Amino acid sequence: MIDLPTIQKKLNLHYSLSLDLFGSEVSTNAANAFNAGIKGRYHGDPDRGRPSAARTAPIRCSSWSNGEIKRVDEPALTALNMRLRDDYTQDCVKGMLRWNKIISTAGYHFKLTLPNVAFHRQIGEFRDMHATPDGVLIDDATWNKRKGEWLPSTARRRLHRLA
Amino acid sequence: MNIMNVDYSTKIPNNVNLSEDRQVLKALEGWHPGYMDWWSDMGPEGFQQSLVYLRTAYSVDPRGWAKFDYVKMPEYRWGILLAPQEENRVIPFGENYGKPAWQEVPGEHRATLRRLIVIQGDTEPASVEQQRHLGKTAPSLYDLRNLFQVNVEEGRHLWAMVYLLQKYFGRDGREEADELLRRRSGDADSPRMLGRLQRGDAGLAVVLHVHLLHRPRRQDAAALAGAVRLRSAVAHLPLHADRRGASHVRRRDRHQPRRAAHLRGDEGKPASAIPPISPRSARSA
Repeated sequence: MIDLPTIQKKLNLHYSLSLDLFGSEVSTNAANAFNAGIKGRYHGDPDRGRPSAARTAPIRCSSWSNGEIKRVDEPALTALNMRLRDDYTQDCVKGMLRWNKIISTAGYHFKLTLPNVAFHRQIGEFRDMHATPDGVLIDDATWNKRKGEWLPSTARRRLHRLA
Repeated sequence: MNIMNVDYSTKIPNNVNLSEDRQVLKALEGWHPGYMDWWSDMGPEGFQQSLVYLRTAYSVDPRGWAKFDYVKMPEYRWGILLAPQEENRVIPFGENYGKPAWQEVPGEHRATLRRLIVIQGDTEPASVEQQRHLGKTAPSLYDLRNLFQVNVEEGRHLWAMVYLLQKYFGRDGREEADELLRRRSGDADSPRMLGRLQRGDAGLAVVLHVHLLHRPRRQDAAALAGAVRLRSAVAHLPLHADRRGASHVRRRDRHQPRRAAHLRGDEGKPASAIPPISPRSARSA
């Protein structure tokens, strides 16, 4: 038996690790590879069907610098990874809503939530900072003290292995 | 043999005419024993000798392409199954949009392409390595069978990447192909390439792992899929805590796509069409 809060912690872990798979949110590598025609995306071109002015319009991105999160404009192509990451988040939301429906149908008052994109990241804009699953910035000491509330621990993992 | 149908007469099943491509065939045959060693070291633990009801592709035609039978996983016929070549295909994005698709690797992109293929190739065995203990905690035979089907398909994706490396990247490609078998998920000395793939979570993670980790593919690997929609990761690995509740889940599992949901040719059958592995074969594990 695995309790729902533990599943939430596992979800926090796997979701944030999977976000890292999209690479840096702002990436000239991704833009160059796309431009050169060697790494496409789902359906070839994510901008297919958009009017040409919208294709090149800058995209607003969250950027971490000097201890705060700022909103900056980036060229659409440079922000390719972030846009795909956001599509992925939307997709995960759908799956999570389905899980929540299962939980409520079973009669439990518990809702799983996806953590903020800044939570527990090792790659991209948010790798040098710490944030809570709600997206509140915290310092190193707070992170170290509280991360056990949000992420599964190794001791816990051993327990599951025995179970 | 044609591109749609797979040649099973050679040691390595393929639809790329390997019997007339001696150099690549030789390279692949040289690589094969190392792959089998890797599978027996790092493949699903405790089930190598079990009979598992698996789907094997015999065609890449989306209308009909698989046979089902009980096989021991190490005897699964991995091979090279590529999507059929399209006449007059053009580059679908970027500055070269609309120009004829390259049939050989362009010199200026050789290094980048090799790296992309190596990284993609590295994720396939890494996934098998991460999931190798999951069979022990599978909540049902149904999940167990799905897990093993995913595992053998990951193996086949590795074969596809190795084929590209050996066919188009010469000696460098052959060395990279060998390296793909040498690295290990979580190994201190030679880890897999992406940090995400270093974890060895043995217990709970199967649903989360498949649901979340396999989803990024929906965004990147389906460039060939055209108008055919990729299917949700959970369709072939449904949640099983809810056998009696949540009828919407079961209804969705029964939904039959009108055509192959997945042109990569792998997990294309709806879960409902696939019988679970037999209790007998699981007990003998």
